Amino acid sequence: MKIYWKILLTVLPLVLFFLFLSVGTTYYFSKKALTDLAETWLETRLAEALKITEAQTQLLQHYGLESVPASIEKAKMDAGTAITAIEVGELGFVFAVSTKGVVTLHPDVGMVGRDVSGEAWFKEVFQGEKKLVYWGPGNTNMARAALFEPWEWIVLATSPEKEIYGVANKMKPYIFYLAILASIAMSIVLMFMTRRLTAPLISLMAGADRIGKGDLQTRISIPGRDEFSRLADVFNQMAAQLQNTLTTLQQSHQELELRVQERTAQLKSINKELKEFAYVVSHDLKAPLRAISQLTHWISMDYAAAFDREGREMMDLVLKRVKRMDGLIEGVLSYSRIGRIKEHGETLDLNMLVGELIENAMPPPHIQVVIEGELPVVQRDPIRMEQVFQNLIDNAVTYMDKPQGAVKIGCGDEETHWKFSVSDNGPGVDKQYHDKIFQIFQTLAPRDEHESSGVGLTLVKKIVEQYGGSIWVASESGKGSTFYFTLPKREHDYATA
Amino acid sequence: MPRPRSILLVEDDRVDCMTIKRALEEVKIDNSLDIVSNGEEALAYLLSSENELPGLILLDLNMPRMNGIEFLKTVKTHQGLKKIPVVVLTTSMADQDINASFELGAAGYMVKPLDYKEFIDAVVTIARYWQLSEMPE
Repeated sequence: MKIYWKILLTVLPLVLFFLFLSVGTTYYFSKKALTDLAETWLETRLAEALKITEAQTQLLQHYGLESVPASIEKAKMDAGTAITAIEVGELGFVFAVSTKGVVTLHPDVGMVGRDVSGEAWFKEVFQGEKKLVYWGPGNTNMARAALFEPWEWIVLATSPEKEIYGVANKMKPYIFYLAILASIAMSIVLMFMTRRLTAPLISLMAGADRIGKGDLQTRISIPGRDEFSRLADVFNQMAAQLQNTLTTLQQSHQELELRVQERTAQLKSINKELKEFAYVVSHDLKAPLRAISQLTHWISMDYAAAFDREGREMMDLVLKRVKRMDGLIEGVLSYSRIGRIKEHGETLDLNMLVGELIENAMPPPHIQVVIEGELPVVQRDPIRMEQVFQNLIDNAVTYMDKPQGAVKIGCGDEETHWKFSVSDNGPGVDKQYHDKIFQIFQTLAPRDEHESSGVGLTLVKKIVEQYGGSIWVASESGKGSTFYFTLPKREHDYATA
Repeated sequence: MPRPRSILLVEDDRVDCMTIKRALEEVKIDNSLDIVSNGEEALAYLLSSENELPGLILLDLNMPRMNGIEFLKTVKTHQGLKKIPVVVLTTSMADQDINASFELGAAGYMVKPLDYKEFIDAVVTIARYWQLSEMPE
């Protein structure tokens, strides 16, 4: 609607202005023409009157009576009769005034002898004005004047404007009404035209609106070959293309959805299998192991006398291997259980958690385990966080080979995540093993020296990665090692320092 | 102290049976020990009029024919048997087993340790507890 009003409000006043201007001009020029006509007309009548006076004076001269007062009076009388008989339209007439300002001649006898020297128009005429408009009794008159010197007459031919402009004045209301009617008609036509002009715009807008709201079936139809219909074509092409793209997208989305569903189902069944597997392992693998352990124990007790030193050692080795087997099974089990991490976790002050871990670990006196700086407060599963720090600290303590061991736990704030470090001055890890140590059941030290399931770092890696972080080691053989791991920050995590 | 009642062991693993037997002997707990190897046999034992009702049932979960959970379900809905305390003694550390056992009214849940000495400790702890505890008639 806005464009409609813009066009209308710009064009309509302009049109109306020119309409009234042309009406006014017509009126003005017709009036001017009438004035000219009236002037010529008055001029003719005046000339006629002057001709009469001229004729009378010539007649007097002809008979040599130009100085006989009675004859002159007689001539004036005759001229007067003739002149007053001159008709100027229906209401106009010719009259004469003496140069002294006394009416000497008038169709209305009552006016003769009246002194008009005080009238403004007389003064003008007296000063030589030939063309004049004066205010007569009751109405405005138009007059032409001429001096007839022999008799000292000023002859005037006059007619009321009412009569002169009669036609034009009669036209005036007609022209006025015509103008009003024309304006109304013009306005209606303009409104209609403007509406026709903006109609395609409105249908374009409605179409675009529908397309914008997602109804891509919409096609805009604007007949003709103007810019609007071209625009509509472009719109339609756009909608068609959008529709195609959307259809393709929807298809691929559906395919994706289907695939996700398939994968989810697969994952679910795998997860279930894993759970069942873990259950079977804990039950069916451990039961015979326990039996072996106990039977070996009884044999070595009940038949102790039958064994020599070597035999006892062998029995001892059997028990140790059984224990190792149990550790391995336990490792696999705890690794498989990480799948179920608590999503939201608990608010956890790591300073406290790690502090307690150090206390409980009871490291030998020659190894110092300290927290360097401050650890943050995080929102995580406490069991998992404990497993991470426990394993890293245990490793550092267990494999310490220096007389003065130092294990340091620290944390750096890296904007988007925390970067934790556990460093020691132990034996270090050779570069070629930096990846291997994170693989399951991989140990670097012989198992008889350090009883280890080889699950610890694998577990730590899995937990860290499940939280969206990463873990790596910086170390050189003999120079100690630093394990780094990152933990993406969450909304409720905050630094304590 | 009232006359010691018998202990019923529901266990299919012979070595585990031997372990418990040895453990009780070793720490001189002389309540009589009756052993059945699955839930069905245990039910038959309990329902037979020849046997006196035991004071305590030690129950393994993973057994053939009728497993421990099924046995618990039956016993705890039986008017005459549901007062007997049942302590689960099993290898399983699975949450679902622990939860199911206590929901069905188990009086305790112990995981069988690998080490014989620890196993003895566990058995002794259970036995001593139920020696001290008041028993329903």
